[in-house]
Amino acid sequence: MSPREMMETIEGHQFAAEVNLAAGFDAFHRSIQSHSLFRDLAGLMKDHPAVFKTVLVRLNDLSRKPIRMQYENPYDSAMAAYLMAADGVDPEVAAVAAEAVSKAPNCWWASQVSSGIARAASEASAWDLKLIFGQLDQARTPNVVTQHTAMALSWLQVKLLIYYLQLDLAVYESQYGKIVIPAAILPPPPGPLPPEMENDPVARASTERAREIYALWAARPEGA
Amino acid sequence: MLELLDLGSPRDRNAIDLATSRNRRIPNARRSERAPEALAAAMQFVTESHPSARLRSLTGTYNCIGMAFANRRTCIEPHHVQMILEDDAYTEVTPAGVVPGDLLVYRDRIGAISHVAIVTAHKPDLANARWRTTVISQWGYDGEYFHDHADVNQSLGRPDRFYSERKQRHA
Repeated sequence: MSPREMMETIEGHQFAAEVNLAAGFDAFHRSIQSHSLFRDLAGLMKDHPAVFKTVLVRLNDLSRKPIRMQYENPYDSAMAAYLMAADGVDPEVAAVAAEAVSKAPNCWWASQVSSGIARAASEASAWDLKLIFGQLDQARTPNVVTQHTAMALSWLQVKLLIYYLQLDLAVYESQYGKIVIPAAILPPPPGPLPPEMENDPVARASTERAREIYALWAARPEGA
Repeated sequence: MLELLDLGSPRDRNAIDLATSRNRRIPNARRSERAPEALAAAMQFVTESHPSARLRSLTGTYNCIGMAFANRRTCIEPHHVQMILEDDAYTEVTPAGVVPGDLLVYRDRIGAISHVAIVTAHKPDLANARWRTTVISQWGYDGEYFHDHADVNQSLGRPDRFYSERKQRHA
């Protein structure tokens, strides 16, 4: 099957029907990742820059296509799949594509993939942590985040920043009282490791540390 | 911060007011209806792959959890189900104690809640020494079906445990 034929199939009703059989975003994500068409196309995108470019152009075209506004965007699942594949090849390019997709009307999965890429926001490397800032657009439904600025901090700066932010918060709370975080917006605790990472000692240690930090943080009365 | 910006958060205009019995907010979001031809293709896919599933309603505006806990009005992510079960005082029911109206929770291969269904019939199948359980559930966003409890697409996980919010169960 040629890349063009793969894309036609991914944009068809059958593909959408298959991947929509997911109760939530995690299951949708897994469903796409395990779909043979997605894997084949994603592989071609990694190996052939021309295919990657073709998909990006198509993604941009789909995000601008007029749709029947009383219905969901018919290319929702396809755009989500293309974005995920692009993210696997080049996250920075995918972030630009996500910006285009965030403007497509009446999306569900594509909006969530796009927001996820935008929220990834903090891109960590061995050298630094890149924070990407954006603005929530509540005029659109579902809401989207439009990115506009990125800033890289060295890990030394990150550690110092955490200290100074904690100091500022402590001073504020001593003056004006504890800031109570509503239960409904408490971040969830760290989840279990995926099976393929269970034997990775670094992943296990990181998860354990994340759980310790969460337990300390969530146990504070103001976090309840 | 992620939760503040999340789909279905209190700031999402597409969410509705929904809370557990203990007044904890249930994050949710309403999804646009899918086009008739997309829904028809979805029904064809489900009924061809699961011939015994019988369609009740063909819509994509809610998921299984929205069907069970929000009267088919909105979509709720599976990771909120545990909070709802706890706050609404659901307790586990053994297969022998299940009655129509009870809840069946499905889990995926890593043990996370992946689907819920409402029991519509539960009878002993003496010939095969098992319970014959029929449920109703929304299959992802591809329509609502009556089906054997174990006959679902693999994306929805496998049946795990029954729960009920029934009061005075022994009365």
